[in-house]
Amino acid sequence: MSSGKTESEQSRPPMKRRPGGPVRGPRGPHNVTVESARDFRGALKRLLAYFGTQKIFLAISGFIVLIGVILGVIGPAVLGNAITNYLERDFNLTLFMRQVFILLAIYVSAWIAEVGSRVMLVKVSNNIIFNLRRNAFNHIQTLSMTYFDKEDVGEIMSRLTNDIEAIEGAVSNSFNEALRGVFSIIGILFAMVMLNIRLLLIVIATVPIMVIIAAIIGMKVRAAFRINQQKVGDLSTRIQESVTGVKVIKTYGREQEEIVGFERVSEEARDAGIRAEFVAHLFSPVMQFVSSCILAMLVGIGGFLVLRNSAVFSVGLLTTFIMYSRNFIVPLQQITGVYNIIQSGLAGAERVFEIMDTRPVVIEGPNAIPFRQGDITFSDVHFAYEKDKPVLKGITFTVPLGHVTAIVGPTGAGKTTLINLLGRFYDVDKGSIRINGTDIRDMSINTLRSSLGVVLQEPFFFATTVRENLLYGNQDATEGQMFEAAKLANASHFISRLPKGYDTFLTERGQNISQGERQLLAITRAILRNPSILILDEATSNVDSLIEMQIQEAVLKLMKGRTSFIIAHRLSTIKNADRILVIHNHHIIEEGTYSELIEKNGFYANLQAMQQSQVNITEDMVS
Amino acid sequence: MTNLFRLFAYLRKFASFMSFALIFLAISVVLNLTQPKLIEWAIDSGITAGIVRNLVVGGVGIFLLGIVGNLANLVSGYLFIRSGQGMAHELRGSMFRKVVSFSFINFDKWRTGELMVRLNSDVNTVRMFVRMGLFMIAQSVVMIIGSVIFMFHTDVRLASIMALLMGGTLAFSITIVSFLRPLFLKMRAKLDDLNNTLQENLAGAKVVRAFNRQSFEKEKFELKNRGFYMMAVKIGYFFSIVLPFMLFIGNFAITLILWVGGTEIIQNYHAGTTGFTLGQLIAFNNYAMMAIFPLIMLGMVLNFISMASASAERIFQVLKEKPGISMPENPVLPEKIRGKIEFDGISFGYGEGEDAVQDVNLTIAPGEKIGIIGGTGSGKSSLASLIPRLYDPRKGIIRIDGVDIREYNPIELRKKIGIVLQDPILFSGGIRQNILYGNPEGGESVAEWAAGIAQAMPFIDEKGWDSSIGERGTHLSGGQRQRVAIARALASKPAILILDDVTSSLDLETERNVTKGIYEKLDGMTVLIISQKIQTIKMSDRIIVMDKGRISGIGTHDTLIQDNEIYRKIAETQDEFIH
Repeated sequence: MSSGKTESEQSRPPMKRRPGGPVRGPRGPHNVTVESARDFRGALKRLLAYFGTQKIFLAISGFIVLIGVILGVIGPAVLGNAITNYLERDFNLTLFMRQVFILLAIYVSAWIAEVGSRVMLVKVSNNIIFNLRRNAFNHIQTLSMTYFDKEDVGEIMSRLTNDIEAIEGAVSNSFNEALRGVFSIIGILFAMVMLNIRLLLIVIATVPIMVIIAAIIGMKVRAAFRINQQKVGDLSTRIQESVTGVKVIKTYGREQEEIVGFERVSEEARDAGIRAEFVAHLFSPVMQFVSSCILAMLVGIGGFLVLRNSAVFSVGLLTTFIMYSRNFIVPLQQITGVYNIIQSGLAGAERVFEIMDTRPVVIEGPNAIPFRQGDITFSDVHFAYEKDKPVLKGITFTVPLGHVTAIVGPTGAGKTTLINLLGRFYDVDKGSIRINGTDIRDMSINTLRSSLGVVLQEPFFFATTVRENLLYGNQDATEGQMFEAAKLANASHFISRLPKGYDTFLTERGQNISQGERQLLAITRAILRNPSILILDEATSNVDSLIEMQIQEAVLKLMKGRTSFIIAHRLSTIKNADRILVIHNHHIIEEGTYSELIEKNGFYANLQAMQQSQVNITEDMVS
Repeated sequence: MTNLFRLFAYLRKFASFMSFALIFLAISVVLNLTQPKLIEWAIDSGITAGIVRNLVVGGVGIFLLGIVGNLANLVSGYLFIRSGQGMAHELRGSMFRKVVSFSFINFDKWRTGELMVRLNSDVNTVRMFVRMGLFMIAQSVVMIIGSVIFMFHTDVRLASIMALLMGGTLAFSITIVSFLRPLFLKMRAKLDDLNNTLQENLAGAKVVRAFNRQSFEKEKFELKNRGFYMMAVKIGYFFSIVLPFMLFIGNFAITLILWVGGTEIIQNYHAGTTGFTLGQLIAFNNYAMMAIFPLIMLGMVLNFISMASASAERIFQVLKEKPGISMPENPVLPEKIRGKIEFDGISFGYGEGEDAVQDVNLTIAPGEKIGIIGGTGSGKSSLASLIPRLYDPRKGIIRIDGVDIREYNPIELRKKIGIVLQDPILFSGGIRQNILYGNPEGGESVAEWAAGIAQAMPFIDEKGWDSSIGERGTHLSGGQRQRVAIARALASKPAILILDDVTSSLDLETERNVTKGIYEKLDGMTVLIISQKIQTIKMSDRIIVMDKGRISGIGTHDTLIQDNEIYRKIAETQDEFIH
């Protein structure tokens, strides 16, 4: 496998944050999102692909919608007809009653059709969302760490929650509604043409006015909401910052200034909100007014026509048209609303697809062979997280099987990177890493990582019980093995002191236990895997001295018989390491045993001396 | 519910707005309801009677009603919007002032996420309730009462039927909504569950990969995803049946009117009597179209009430919270603080359980440099946090320059004390802005001086003084954030400086330079440095060793090594590296 980076996480610019940030208000007609997809058709096409085999359901559903609309259009015509024929001209009760029953039948059928089309869509749309969620999640599992370095977790999260919910909004009802709206308008127009051209002209005359007004208001709404969203975003950013930083505000006695600043932002949000909501509110009364105009003309002009030519015009016909004109405006209003929902759904889809288009950088070769333990060789390894900012340059060394290697060097020298490369969390840019002579890129990632036991600088735990967290790396371990491991790691003592022992729930990231205790748990978790390669990354920084001793003890036991890598500042185990690698300025600048390095009197010895000068008195005391 | 009424206290400022909003809304609804009456009149006395003039009058009348009615609606909507937004602004302001008045005791109780939700979405929910909820409730109520009156005025028998139908619709709508609410809550819970799983997976991405558990994670997610799906489908089916039924009720009413009214017209015609007219039939037809929809909406809106009421409750919980530390009646202004600190029999605890600080007596001279060391939970940070009154002690008195700190104005007192907490929080903006946070008038020279001592100049030179550091300083490394936080405290030129374990992310050399600068360049400033590392505090004038909330020893490094068991133990473990 080549080490070249294909079209990958690295070459893509980072995801753009959406305006307004992750905090979103409740959904509703007054929270119109104004964003739209960059490539409307592209996003639509891909989303439609998700309908896949369910296209048939969709087609049937569309067909039923059409039937429902036709029935809905026929209704007022039948009603008008009944009035004209039996309440104005021929007063025949039997025939009238027949018309009433026909009307009832029509409305009942329309109802059933509506239920049918909706029921059909429920499964279809939920399946789509289900699959979308699953595919996105599963895809993320294949992505390498590079991706998580580059993208903000909050942003990925927002795509998989807010954006998918937006898509849900679009597919669940909006396509249906849009279809219904369009059908209704066409159907009503058609019916009016069939019934009476002159009355149609009265209704139609107002259509251009309505369309223009709708377009103007729509534009204004969009502009006003864009500003509003920005102001609301500013406000929530301000809230977030002030609330998270409130301790700082207090310790500096800056309350008054913060209140003034907050009030200003809040006022801006209020004013932008008033504007946006009012512009949006305009829509309904304006449309109502147009509807009144139609009504006035139908009654005035239509009534006059009835008087002049009662053979063609009738009150029943006017009634039909009055009902049509009401039914005409509702879908028009709906379509504008639905259009926005569909737009933001597609914009969301675009962002979700962006995740799915990200290709994993670390991929398994086609003929991957299983991990076999042996010597580990880094040869001429180069690596950079970001282009032009090299972290490692030409690292070469070999670790014999079962040896303990300590890696030291200043912060940011690339110690953790070295270990990230060994676990193939990232791939080297140049050079190779071999275990037992096999390039790790030719190895099955599964077997490679299964053989690693990693204790990270900041161990992560899931919000579940201690037990489940410990067994995370090895589901097959028995209860006895778990106790054994905890004992070995000096963790059993504190676990037994927890309120529910092994069944104690850890809160998110294990915040309810101390950092030292988290380390002990992490070590237990690593022991349970029985790894052939052990990696300890600064496992004891920021821990108080007593617990540090316990950790060291545990680590020493854990290292027995395993190829181990330790990154640390002041572990006693470093002294006992078979070899110490000193990394500085992207290179290994010194290597050797502890005494060799001290004798050499180079960088490491200097580092030592610096500490020594501070503690020489202690040394006298202790020795 | 009571919380919702308490909201009206915040609406009081907008009382005139709200009353006009309601008046205009009523006008608009009544005018709308008059339209069918005019249609009836135009048909009966225009078409049936054959008088063209009446038709013209009817048409123009409907047109005028349309203009005035919708203008009234527009005004009413505007007033509702203004009141809602205005109230939201007031509520936010009150809550914000409250949060800022909280002491650290309050913050231990409230999580920041909680407070943010209350300031943001809860206020929004309440605002939407005023804007949409009250608007719709008022509209529906006027519409229902009005249309019933109008209908009874037109024809009693049909009106009774319609009133029955309308009552039934409202009852149905309310039933459905109350049935749906628990389902919705369940669905929301499933979604939260799903999203939590997702969040954890993303946050623990490295662990998932290191332990090779992708397929386990996929299964876990699949399960949650399936759970949500089932719930969503269930609710979807329910809606598919109920929503069209509501629309059907409207159509059914229209059919019913045609049947009953039409039959009467035909019978009257054959009997040669007068009574129910064609115009009245059409009027009823229009009422049915107008009145049923608000009833359906009213059911939905009633659901809003419980949501808004829950939000209002959460808001008032914040507003009710009493600040843990209050302003004294006649606060002393700390003019010139020299920096003498006395702890006199101080005990302090965070609620239940053992006290974190027990019976501490200590006097610190002005300008003295003090180091505090001890294991986790030894009470070091707690002791320091009492000085700027982040907490008040349970027992004992703390004096600064001989004055009980409870007599000072706490805000002014804190301005004289620079404390850097363990987890440095920075604000978005530039580095300069952050360093000068406590001393905005400080200017270039102060910022540079502070950054110099905090060893921040190398990376400031590289990044620039005004480059954005991102939200909460995310563009900076942990060590850089700590140095900016130290510089920020220095730049406010405090009389007393407290550093609570703030050099943990710095490498050895930088850390040494920072502490050296603080010890050597801050003449006259009382400094307390808290650390777990001996080398950080070794140069202090005096070192205080804390253990289980008590002072176990006071002295210099040299004397403590000899007489203090705990100090010696700490030294041993930390110096092991050397051998």
